Amino acid sequence: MLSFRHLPPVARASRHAAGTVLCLALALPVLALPLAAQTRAQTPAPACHPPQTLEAKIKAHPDVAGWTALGNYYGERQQYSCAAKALQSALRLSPHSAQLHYLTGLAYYENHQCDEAMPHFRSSVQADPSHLPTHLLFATCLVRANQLPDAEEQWRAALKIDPTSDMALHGLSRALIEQHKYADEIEALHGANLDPPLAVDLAIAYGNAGMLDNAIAVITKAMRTSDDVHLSSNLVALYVKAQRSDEAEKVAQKAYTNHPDDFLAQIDYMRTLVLNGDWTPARPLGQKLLEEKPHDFDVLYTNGVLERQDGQYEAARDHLKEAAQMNQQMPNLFYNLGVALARLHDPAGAIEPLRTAITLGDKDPEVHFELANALRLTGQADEARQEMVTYQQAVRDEQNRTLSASKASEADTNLQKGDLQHAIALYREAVAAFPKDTMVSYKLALALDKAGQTDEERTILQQLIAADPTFAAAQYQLGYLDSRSGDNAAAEQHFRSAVTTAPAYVDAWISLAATLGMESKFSEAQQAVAMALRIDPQNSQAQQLNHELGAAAQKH
Amino acid sequence: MNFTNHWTRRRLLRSLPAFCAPALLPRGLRAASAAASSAFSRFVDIAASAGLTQPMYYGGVEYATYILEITGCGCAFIDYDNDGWMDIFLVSGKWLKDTPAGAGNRLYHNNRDGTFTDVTEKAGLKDLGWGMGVCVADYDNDGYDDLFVTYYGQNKLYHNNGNGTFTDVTEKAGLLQQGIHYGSGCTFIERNRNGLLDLFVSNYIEIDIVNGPKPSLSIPNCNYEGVATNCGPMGLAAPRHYFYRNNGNGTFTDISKETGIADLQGSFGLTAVVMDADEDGWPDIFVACDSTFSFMLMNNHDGTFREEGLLRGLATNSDGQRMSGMGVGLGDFDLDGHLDIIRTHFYNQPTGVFHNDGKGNFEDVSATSGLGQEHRYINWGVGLFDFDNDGYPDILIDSGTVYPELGKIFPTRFPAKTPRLVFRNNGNGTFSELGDETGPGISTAHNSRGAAFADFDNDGDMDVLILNRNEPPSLLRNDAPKDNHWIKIRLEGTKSNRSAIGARVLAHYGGKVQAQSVTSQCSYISVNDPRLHFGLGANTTADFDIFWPSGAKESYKELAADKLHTIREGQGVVPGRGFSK
Repeated sequence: MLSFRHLPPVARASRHAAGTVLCLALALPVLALPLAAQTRAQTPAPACHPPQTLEAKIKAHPDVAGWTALGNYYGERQQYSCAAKALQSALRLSPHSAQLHYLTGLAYYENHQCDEAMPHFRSSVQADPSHLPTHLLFATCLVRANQLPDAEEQWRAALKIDPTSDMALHGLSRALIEQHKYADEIEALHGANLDPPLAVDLAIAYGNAGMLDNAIAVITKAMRTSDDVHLSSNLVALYVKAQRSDEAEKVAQKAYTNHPDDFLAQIDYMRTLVLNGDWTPARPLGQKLLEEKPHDFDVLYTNGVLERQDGQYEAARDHLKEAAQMNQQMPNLFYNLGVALARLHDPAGAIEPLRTAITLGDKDPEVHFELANALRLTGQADEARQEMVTYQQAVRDEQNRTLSASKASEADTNLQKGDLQHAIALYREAVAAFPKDTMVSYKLALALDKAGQTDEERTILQQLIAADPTFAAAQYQLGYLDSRSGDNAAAEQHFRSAVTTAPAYVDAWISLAATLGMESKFSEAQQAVAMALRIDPQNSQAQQLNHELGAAAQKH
Repeated sequence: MNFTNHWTRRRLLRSLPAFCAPALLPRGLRAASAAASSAFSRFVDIAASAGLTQPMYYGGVEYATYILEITGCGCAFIDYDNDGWMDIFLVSGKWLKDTPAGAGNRLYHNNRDGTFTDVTEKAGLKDLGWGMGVCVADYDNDGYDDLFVTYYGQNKLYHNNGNGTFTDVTEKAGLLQQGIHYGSGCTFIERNRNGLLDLFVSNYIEIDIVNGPKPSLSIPNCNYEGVATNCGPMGLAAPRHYFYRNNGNGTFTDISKETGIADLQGSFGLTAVVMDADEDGWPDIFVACDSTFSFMLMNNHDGTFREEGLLRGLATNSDGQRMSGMGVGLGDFDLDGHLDIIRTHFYNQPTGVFHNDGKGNFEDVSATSGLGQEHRYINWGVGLFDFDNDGYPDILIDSGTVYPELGKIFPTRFPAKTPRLVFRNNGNGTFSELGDETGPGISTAHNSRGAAFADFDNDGDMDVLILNRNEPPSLLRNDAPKDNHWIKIRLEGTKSNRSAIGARVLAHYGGKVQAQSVTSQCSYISVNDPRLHFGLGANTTADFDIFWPSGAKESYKELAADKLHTIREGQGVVPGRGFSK
């Protein structure tokens, strides 16, 4: 097989490239840099000076072997543009050669010309889908071009060839995370040996799937064998998200103790201290960070928040203003800036950042309170009144939501104990306290179902769907009611709505398959149950239904 | 997903634990303060030698199933026999099961020698209910102060018979309630200048101690720091509050709807304090509320009230965050002649210092007051009094956990018992926290609730009575510096209610002016000495302006220091009704 003998081996070169990507990706929860940003500059084309003997040989016999040898010659000397030119000549003589396309692509790749490399990689994998390095390099280029679905396809193809390929698994993992395909990510990494980057990816997937405990468990396990600061950083973030701030601070403090000079460890610890209002150690650490990195966004932001809470409004204003020039997307930054300005008796100046905070999605009632005060002090009485009304309504909603959640949890407990009627009564109180929480209404519907009060259950479900047709669980439950009452057409419609909204909803796929089966739509039913099995291959209900549908289809 | 979006949310800050444990901030260090240039008071707990040895039971010691068990209760100084010496009334709760013998409210008679005698049974005040708050006033103007006690269950009005006994006149007075209420704060108030004291009662929460939610890790607000704890108050329903008209014949009528009080919704009411916030000559009511908007009920001069807590800057803190309002200190910390408010809060919530501009508009100046960085404990009782008589009112706060379970698990961060806090007035509108030099009465840890402030030994300084959960109370004798002067004013209404509840007094001394008010309830659901106490520093006389609840204003010049002056409305200083050092 032809190769650039003195070029770095393909796998190593690619792994190095991917390693860079992954190293950056590791910090994604904090940095959130797009993979496409990791492109490199192209090397200027040097003059090509072939060796006389090889040049003479090609002149005498311009065949594939000669051009390929020349390409190899240039490659060994890292003259990749010359190599590419020579290999293009070879390709003209053998345009369907998978190897030549691969080598040409490789030459372009090494010359940082992924755009030119990709057509060759594509041709190569089409001609020879079994060549692992081509898939790996092609996928790498596709990532750089931000063509993530195609990259995912190539990573998957590589994994089919070599299920143990670290590079392919890392690449696939990143591609899935970047595409927000969290369920696929969880499936892809299920049972895999997780190094720190993969552990972080899986944690991100779990985190986004609302499975924070799993995410925390993944990182915690990874930290048993690695002291990587990125792991602790992500664990800190997860604990914060789970509102386990005490544990977050402990992890951050430990990382800071172990890596006192690591900036990520420092800033994580600073964040938790500020978050927890632990001002005594936060003050000197914040000062140290300001001295070392006076213009770093995180340093400015955390110090600004600390200073704002600590009554040092001028310093808070200055630091938050500078931070706001670097990042215009954080509502809490603008909220704190607005408050600092308000405390400095600059209500006019406070209005804009407070409005920005609201525009950026600040949901806390207090932002409206501050804005109302600033508006009032600047003589904008009507707007101030409106903001205060918004504030009061938000506070009331928050309080009622809490009351509702508490009642619903109490109802859950009673339901588990078997006290159905008490549970229903509590669910009703929960709904009354905060009717906007559709999940509580849904729970009430399920409890009513258990109690056989299906008329009221149906009414509630219909109301929920009318308000939100994408409420998959309600669609499913209503389909179930319809199915039970013999209305298969209506049931089918609801189950279809459920799986359309939630494609990983296994029970809905199974119910849809069963309903379609009852309607003698065996082909569609088999497709539906196949979907269920694809998501959950071990699902016994799906397996049994699949078997029965197969038998029924044969009969018909 | 970007986890960083979740940093530094204000809502998290509200609910986070106290990290500044005593180990991180030794009391000795905090003692170094600008105000330490002259001697300050020392406080010594003399409860045992004074005969206050009976434990006051209230909820489980090791754990609490319901929030009812941890709210604790108030205490009162009341001169029930008019002998010129403040007696003591303690409110008691009980345990969910097996309440120990000896539980129940207590009345102690002041023996005038530093000791007290338990006269509860003789006075007819034995009661084994779940008591909570207390307010005092002579509601029938018969010359003797009466007691109103709030309970989980049925609140009770105890009429002082004038012979050392009380009679439960709740039913006769028309104060029976329907259903179970969780009464908390209360205050008598002369709302319409008719000389009759009406009654406001706040309620805390709606709770069912049979089927209500119990500690749980799965129910929101039923756990704290990963430990199952008593639920609430968030997540529980907020009750309504009540207002009763004094009919002038010993009976009351529920006029909650007519006064607008029934419309108040969504707040967990605790301490209720009467004060003329906007100095319009009509008494208003401030209600500290837990985790919800506190109320500022402004008097409409027509017998009704309007709620203006948000408008006047008292409903929340300066950031619009709802605080866990527990106790209320009333006084004039910056000596501008206007009544300011101190409101105690939960873990991680600095005690609120609210400055009054004299028109009833309050500014939260906690961050710059010197109290902003003290948020280690859950604070309850509070007094804004001039303990060292230097002419500047200081602050004393008691504290106590509501999660007894956490004490064993997190003994440093959430100790089962916590000390008292003293903030000395620096004379410039700020305070400095003092440390061990304030004496063992301050540094000794307890799980405290209500606190009442009075000069129980008539020695010219303000002492402190503190109710401790499941312990005997503390009686902190104030050993104030001897060089400073003081003066006390006792008001007796004639056209106004006899107790002069709601009267505002301005003391002028040494170029300063200090406002105080006669209250029926203050601190944490407790009752202070009705004799207003002013430290005068080096001054030997003071002038006074008195704004009576009737609307009348009287002025007195050069009243002598180191004496109690009793002033009767329209009649001046009453001879023979004072004491001197």
